[in-house]
Amino acid sequence: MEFRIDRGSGVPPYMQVVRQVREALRLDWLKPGDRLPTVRDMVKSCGVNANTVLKAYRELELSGLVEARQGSGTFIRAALGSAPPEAMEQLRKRLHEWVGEARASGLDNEDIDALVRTVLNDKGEQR
Amino acid sequence: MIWIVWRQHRTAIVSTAVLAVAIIVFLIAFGNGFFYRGGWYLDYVPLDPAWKLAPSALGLAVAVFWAAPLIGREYEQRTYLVAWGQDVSLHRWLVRKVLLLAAAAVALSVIVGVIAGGLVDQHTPSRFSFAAFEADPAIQAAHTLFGFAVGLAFSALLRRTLLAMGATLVVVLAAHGLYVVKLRERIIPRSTRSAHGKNPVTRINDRSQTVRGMSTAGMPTRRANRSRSPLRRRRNAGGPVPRPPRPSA
Amino acid sequence: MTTIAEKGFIQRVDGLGKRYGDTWALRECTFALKPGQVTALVGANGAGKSTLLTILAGLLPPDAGKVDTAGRVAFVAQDKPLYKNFTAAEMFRLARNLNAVWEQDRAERWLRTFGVRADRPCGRLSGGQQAHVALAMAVAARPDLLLLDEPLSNLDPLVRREVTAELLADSAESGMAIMLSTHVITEVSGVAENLILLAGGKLLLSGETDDLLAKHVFHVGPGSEVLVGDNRPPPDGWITRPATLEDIVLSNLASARDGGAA
Repeated sequence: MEFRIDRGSGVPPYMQVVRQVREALRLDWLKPGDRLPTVRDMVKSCGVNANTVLKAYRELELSGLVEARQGSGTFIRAALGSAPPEAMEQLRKRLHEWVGEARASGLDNEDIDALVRTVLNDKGEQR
Repeated sequence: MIWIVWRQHRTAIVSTAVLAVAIIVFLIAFGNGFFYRGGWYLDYVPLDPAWKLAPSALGLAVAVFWAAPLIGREYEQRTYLVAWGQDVSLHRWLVRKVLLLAAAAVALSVIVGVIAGGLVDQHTPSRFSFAAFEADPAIQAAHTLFGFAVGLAFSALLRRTLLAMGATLVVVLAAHGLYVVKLRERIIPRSTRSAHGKNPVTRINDRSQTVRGMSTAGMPTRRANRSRSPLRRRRNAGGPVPRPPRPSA
Repeated sequence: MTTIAEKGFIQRVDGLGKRYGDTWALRECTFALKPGQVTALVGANGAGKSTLLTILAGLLPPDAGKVDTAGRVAFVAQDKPLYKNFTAAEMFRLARNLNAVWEQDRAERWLRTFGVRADRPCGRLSGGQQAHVALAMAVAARPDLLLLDEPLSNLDPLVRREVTAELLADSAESGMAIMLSTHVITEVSGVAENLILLAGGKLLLSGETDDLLAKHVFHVGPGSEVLVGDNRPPPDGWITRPATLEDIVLSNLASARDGGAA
């Protein structure tokens, strides 16, 4: 899988790696047993600091999503599909419609983003 | 480090070596009376002083073109940030560089001095032995080292290549003038060297007895020393050869 | 080198200052550079970045404070000076002669990676190519600390990422620490784990980039936006928005300027 680091973003780069791995798990792009790129490959391909990658992998390991096997690399351990695929599909479809509706009422991406975040804040959700 | 010094200064070194060869050729030609054969320029070119000063020109070239740009150029082109930023410290870089260059300069001076000395022995100036004294390899080396030191000092002080070269030129020339006028008389030994009788270049000069720039008279000690050489004895027996008449202007 | 292990840093500066005439170009700088760490030195032009790096490289004596160095340091100056009549190969030979460690392979590989010819006089290479020669020289000396003054400034934007990737890969491999200066903050996000912000010769901010990013957020309310650096919760009805490194740096520069004016 390809990682993309957004350098202008306020999200720490290691966090961006963590999120992208989680996202890839949710979307089934990564499955248990898959190997994550080596630190060296990550450094080479993304131009990020090795410590950033290590920090991201450590974070993923602490949350039990990956495991480091001595000498052979870092492997995905658990799937992250918190909802069954059908439910995911449903949610995505409804969100798709909702965004269309929001656009129709004249909201742009930033407005939508702000709205989503206020709602998430209200619900007390983190991150 | 030898490679670095050579690579960095090869233009200056080669040019100076060419100058040294030119000086030697000039001295030999002079010794052979080449310049007195033709004519018209003799009224314009002060050949006699040139003959005495020619060996010292090398020291001047070394001062101006080797030593004066040595440090200033690194600052000017900002290459000191590369040269002195490596593991070898500035101190060691400078010491090695100065030692190598000074050794090369001294070697060139000594070569020119030995050859010039050999020639001077054949053509001792009429009254003074200054030319002979000047051509001594040790004196040549001293001139060169003095020039090198002046150039290096200005290079470190001014940190500007052209400025350092100009200042070095002026100061070395001025010092040389002062030395010629005030100092040389005092330090010159009364009876001079003898070693140059063995110099192979003397053979060249033996073919040119008829036309010489200077009289060989007036240096009894020197002639006595030289009597070991049979060739010379033969020539010296002929006594002073008069200078050929110059064409009138 | 054992001294690095003993001391725990490659270089530590304490109360560093440099004066030109009666203006201080650098004042009271204190920090340490540790093995394997990549530190970004950020600041506007004239903030003292080059002065600081030149002092760290040992090429400029400080007027105050001291520098404690425990390892081999390599330095690439901002204008990437080279002997213009030397070819890249000859520059490498010079470096091989002047360094305790030299990996010819690494130097040549760098030039191959970026398509720079080794047999041309450096003076006839483009600015970017000269930068590559200078960087290759510095990297191949395998220093414990690599000081880079605006290393990316004369490089093609497309190549910058590759150059940082190469540098970071070397750092990851050998534990080489890097300190690089820049005035483009986005260039160092994800690259540097530490950030040192200089303004007017003073150390304005210093810390881990992840920490800085985690601590700083914007509180966005009706008609206003406030950058907060102490994890305090937003007022009721306000939302938060993450701050970028650039936001943090700019806000610090602005408050320093206002503070200085007051």
